[in-house]
Amino acid sequence: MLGQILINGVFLGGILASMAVGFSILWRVMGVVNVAHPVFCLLSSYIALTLLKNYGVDPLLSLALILPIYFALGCFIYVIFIQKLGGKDITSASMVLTFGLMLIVEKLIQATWGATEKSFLDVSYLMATLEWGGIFFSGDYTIGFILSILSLASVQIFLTRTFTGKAIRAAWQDIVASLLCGIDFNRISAITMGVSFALCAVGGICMTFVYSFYPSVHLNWLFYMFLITIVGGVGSIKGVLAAGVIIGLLVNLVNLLVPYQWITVIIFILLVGILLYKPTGLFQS
Amino acid sequence: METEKFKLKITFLCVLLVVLVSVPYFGIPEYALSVFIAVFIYCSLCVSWNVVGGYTGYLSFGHAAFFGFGAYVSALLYTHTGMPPYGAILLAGIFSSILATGIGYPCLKVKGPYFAVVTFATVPMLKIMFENLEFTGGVQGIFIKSSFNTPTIYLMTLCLMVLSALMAVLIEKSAIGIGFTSIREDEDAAETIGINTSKIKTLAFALSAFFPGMVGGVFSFYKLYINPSTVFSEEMSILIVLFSLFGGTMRWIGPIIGASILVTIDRVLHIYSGIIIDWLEYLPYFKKVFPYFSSGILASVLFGLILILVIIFMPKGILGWLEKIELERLKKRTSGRD
Repeated sequence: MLGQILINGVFLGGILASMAVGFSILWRVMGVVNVAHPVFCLLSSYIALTLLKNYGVDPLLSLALILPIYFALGCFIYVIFIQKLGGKDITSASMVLTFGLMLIVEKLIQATWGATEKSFLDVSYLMATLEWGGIFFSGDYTIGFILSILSLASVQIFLTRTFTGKAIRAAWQDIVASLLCGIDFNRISAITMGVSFALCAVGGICMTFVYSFYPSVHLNWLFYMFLITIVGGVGSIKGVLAAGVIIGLLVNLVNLLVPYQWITVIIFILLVGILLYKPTGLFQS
Repeated sequence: METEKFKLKITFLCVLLVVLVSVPYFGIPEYALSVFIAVFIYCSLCVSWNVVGGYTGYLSFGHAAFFGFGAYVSALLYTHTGMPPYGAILLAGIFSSILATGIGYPCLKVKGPYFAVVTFATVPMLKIMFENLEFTGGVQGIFIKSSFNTPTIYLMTLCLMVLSALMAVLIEKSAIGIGFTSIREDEDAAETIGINTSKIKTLAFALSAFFPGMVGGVFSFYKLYINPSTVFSEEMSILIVLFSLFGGTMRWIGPIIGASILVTIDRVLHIYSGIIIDWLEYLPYFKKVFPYFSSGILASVLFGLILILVIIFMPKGILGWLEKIELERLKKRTSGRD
């Protein structure tokens, strides 16, 4: 029983981390707080669901299709919205802007797919379960977790091993110095936003493997995402993963004691508590 | 010259007030009155929001929480204890301020996006709490048996708007207002010269929650039925910020201008939404892509777009824009002289 809870918690944590990592990187590199991140996660799941229902495309395959589209969408949003903000107080301005974006995308999702609850229940491999040593590995959690770990690992490799990734890290360490080295800040920012959006597509698909979804569910996701980002420290990928696992375990353990509806209240209280006593997060000096 | 201008302004406001007070006696249709009521409700919400969002610069994305909380407090007091409606509405404001003190004291220690998200989270949190508690009637909500007619509600909301604007004016003119602005300009410097910023911020937050609570109280007597999902709406929180930013947050008049214009647009849109949606459906594939399109969605999408445009092109709102025009006019006049 406890082993099952631990495994589910860790798997859920990985999935939550994959949703939060794009948001976290974007905030760290550009100072852009994209509160529309979860709603774009949701949009990717709706697209995958439509492809599945209408054309029988497997969700994992449609994820491969969505990724480049989302990368382009991220670059596009940077060029037409964020770049226009300029100014020094980009954090607040971008937040207000993305609140507007969130409203639009949520309502358009509602206009297209209706307000009813949807899920990926009829995909066969998500429903399969494997038993190993008394612990059940359900297909949805396991595949979501593997996908999340893959996406986190690939973004880590991208940031540490590739030239563009190094340029992104240079920009977040010292913008002026990176400009002096000839790094094109606009190009780097557009790429960062594209990567963040691509990650958000992965996160959305992983989340909806596990949970059913409806147009306003992204608000709950927003609080999870924010909590994980703050606990893990803004911009730290390992921190995000660790924080995700902590929150995932916590959610599953708390679920034993209180009814499911109250979890959001507990998450909120945790959020306020963390902000008060450790606003820089647990994993950053 | 300055005093003359001031006298003119005061006369204008008084005339406007008299006209607004006498509107219900002209026998205009109920729907027009409801437009006015919506405008007044949002005006007083936005002016109150401006106390914390504009003067102290802490963008609160959770003012709908106080509105909903006030609605529940007055409805519960009225139905359970048999308190007279006006007393219930006043207590709704006071309880909202107390709630705001409770939320604000810890939350105001964090800034920027942290504060915004924490306040944004209060709305769904209260929604969940009121949905799952016994005495609030759960998801079903509460029916209020009361018989205020629409003109009375109109006068009540008008009164609340005037009072909240008055509060904003008084704050602007007083030392407290200077304290608030000092926090917006440079909080650390304000702390250094001996302003107790944490106390002042909490005060601003509590003041800004008082009138939303009372407006919520009036709202429950207006609609006669409330449930968690109608009074606790995240969209309302965003709209309050949008209306205030659209008008300009530097002075009390800004949010009133913004809310009046945009709420009127929203209501007019509501009347003509059928025609607009008919037009939209002429577009190829529109009906196929958006089968669930409705007038509410149209308004929300439009407001989202306006919010984006405002923040990109008009970050200081209409007031800032007017100021810029005035400055250019002055510049032209002075450059003509020499």
